[in-house]
Amino acid sequence: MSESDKIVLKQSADELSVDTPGHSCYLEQIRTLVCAHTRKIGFPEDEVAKIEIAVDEVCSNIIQHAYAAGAKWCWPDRPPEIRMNLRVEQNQLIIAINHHGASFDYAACCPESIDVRLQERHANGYGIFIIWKFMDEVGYTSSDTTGNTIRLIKHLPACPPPPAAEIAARAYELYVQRGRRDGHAWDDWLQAQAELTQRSGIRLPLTEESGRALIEAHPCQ
Amino acid sequence: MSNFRLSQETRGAVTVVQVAGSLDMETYPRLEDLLTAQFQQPHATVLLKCKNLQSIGSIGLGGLIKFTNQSRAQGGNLKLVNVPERVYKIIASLGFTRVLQVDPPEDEALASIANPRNCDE
Repeated sequence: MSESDKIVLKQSADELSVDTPGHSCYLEQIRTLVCAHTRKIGFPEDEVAKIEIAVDEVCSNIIQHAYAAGAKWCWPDRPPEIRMNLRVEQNQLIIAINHHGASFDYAACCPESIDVRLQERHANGYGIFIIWKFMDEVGYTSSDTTGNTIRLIKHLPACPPPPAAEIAARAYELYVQRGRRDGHAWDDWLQAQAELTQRSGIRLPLTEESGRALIEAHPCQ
Repeated sequence: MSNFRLSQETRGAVTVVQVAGSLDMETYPRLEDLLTAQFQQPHATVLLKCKNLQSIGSIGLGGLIKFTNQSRAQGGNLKLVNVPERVYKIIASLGFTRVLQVDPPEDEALASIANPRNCDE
C-alpha cells in the first residue's frame, strides 16, 4: 500500500473529510487539500496561506506532542491518525481536526504576543500563537469517547455580517412596502438580512466536478 | 512524496542554498543538517534562495532564528532572498522579519521606497 493509499478522502460540494495516519510525511498532502478546498470556497490567496499554516501547526503539534512516545493517548491501542473535516456553516469555514493522542487544550492557551520571544530570539514556542493569529476562533473538546478535537473557524471572505443599521433600514422599507402593517417585524428583518447578505457576495461552494477541476488547475504551489 | 528540494553551491566565501517546496516538521531536519554543517565553520555566510519556497511553519522559522543567532555569535551571516510574496507576507505578519534577515519581494521593496512609512509591514 502506497502512502497516498492510506489517505481517506470524502468530498462533497460543501464539505471535505480527510483521514491520514498521524505522521509528518502526510503534512504536505493535508496542506494541499486544505489549500484547494479553501480556494474553492473563495478565500483570497493571502487567507488561504494563513489557513494552510494554521492547519499545519495544529497537525504538527498533534504528531510531535500528542502522539509522542510516552504521551498518554486517549485510545492507546489504535495507530496514530489525524481526522480532519472542513465544512461551511453560517458564513464560516469550520475545520475540525480530531486525534486520539494526548489531550492539550489549544483554546485555553492563547499567547497574546510573541514579541518577547522574538526579541529574545527563541527558536521555538511560536506554533500556538500562529494558530490563534491566523484563525478567527479556536476551540477544543476532549472526551474518552470522541478523542480530542481542535476546532478552527475562519469567517468567509466578502460576506461580513451586514451592518445592523443597514438591515434596519431595509427592514423599514419592507415595512413601508407592506403598508406599515405591524406584526411582521421579524420577517422583515430576516428578509432584509438575507437580501443584504446575498448582495455582499457570498460565494457558495462549487460542485464536486468544478471543485476537482480547480484542484487540478491550482495545486498548492 | 515530498516536493521539498535542497541544493547548495559555493560562491567565494558564501554558500548559496536553494530551498524549494515546503519547510515543515518533515522537511526541516534536512535543512537543519545542512546549516549545522555550514555553521560549524567560523564566519560562515549562507544565502538561502527561496524562490520556490511554498510555505514555512513555526518549526522552520524557529530553526532559522536558531541559525541566525549562531551565525551572529561566530561572526557569520544567514540571509533569505527571493522569498515569494505569499510566504513573505506570512513571515512579515508574524513579526519574524524583525529578527531574520529577509529581503522583501520586489513589489514590497518598491512599495516601501514609494511610501517609507509602510516599510515595517
